[in-house]
Amino acid sequence: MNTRTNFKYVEWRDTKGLHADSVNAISDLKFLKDELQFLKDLVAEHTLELIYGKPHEEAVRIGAELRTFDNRLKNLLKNLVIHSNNLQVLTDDIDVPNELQDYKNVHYKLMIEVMDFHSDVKNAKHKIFKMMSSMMKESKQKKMR
Amino acid sequence: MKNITYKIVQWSTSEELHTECLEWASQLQFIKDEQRFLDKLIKEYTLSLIIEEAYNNSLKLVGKLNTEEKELSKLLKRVKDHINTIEILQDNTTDKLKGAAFKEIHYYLKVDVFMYANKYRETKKALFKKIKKLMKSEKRSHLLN
Repeated sequence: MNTRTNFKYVEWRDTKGLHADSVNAISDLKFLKDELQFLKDLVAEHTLELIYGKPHEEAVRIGAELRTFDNRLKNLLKNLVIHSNNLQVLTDDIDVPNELQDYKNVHYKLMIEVMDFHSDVKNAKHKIFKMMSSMMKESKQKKMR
Repeated sequence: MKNITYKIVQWSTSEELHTECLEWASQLQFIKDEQRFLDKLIKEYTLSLIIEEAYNNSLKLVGKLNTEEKELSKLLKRVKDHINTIEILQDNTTDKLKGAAFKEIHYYLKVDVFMYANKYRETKKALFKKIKKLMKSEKRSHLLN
């Protein structure tokens, strides 16, 4: 739930703050995983077909788009967990030159990726809202006839 | 409350604060669209909802969504009002007290938007579960007919 304006503060973040960022991003993505599963079920062809009587081209397209998110989410989640575990390396007694700065660079990159991902999912969701809303309207009209 | 979020707000430039509240407005607007969509989905499954055993629980959940929708309108209004007073910060002649008050309000709004988003997420999670179940039973009855 971090906003862009916070990214500048990656520079000023202490290890505790960096850890909190990763934990939040991981929890957001885990929730998104459930949400994506729900959306996939929702637009799943067979469900729509059963209820509305015909396969829907748009639904197929959106379904495919949603499936591309699976891999992205899996990789992002994996990288974030690794990144969050790497924090221990920073807090150990062995000093490596630039280790904090390197860590922050990765941190920044990951946070941007998370944000981009959320924004892409949002766009897909808008498409789903539109499609399903018009389908529901259609089916209501059919029922009334 | 001198936590890191508070400090970040204090350190932010007026431009950053402006961007941040525009982001809140867009985030809340998106939630609004999503809630409308969820309302429609619930309506679509009303019949299955009524014959469902755990009817009372479902009703509670729908009530929660409705309450949160009302809360969202209020929160969105607060964010928009806040955005409208941003000139206070951009105007050099403004006295310091007003600027400080703006940042104070900004901090509380930030916390409220964050808390709201988390609360809504929980409701959404429960709704997904419910709707999934209803979809399944709907499908079953379609197959039987």
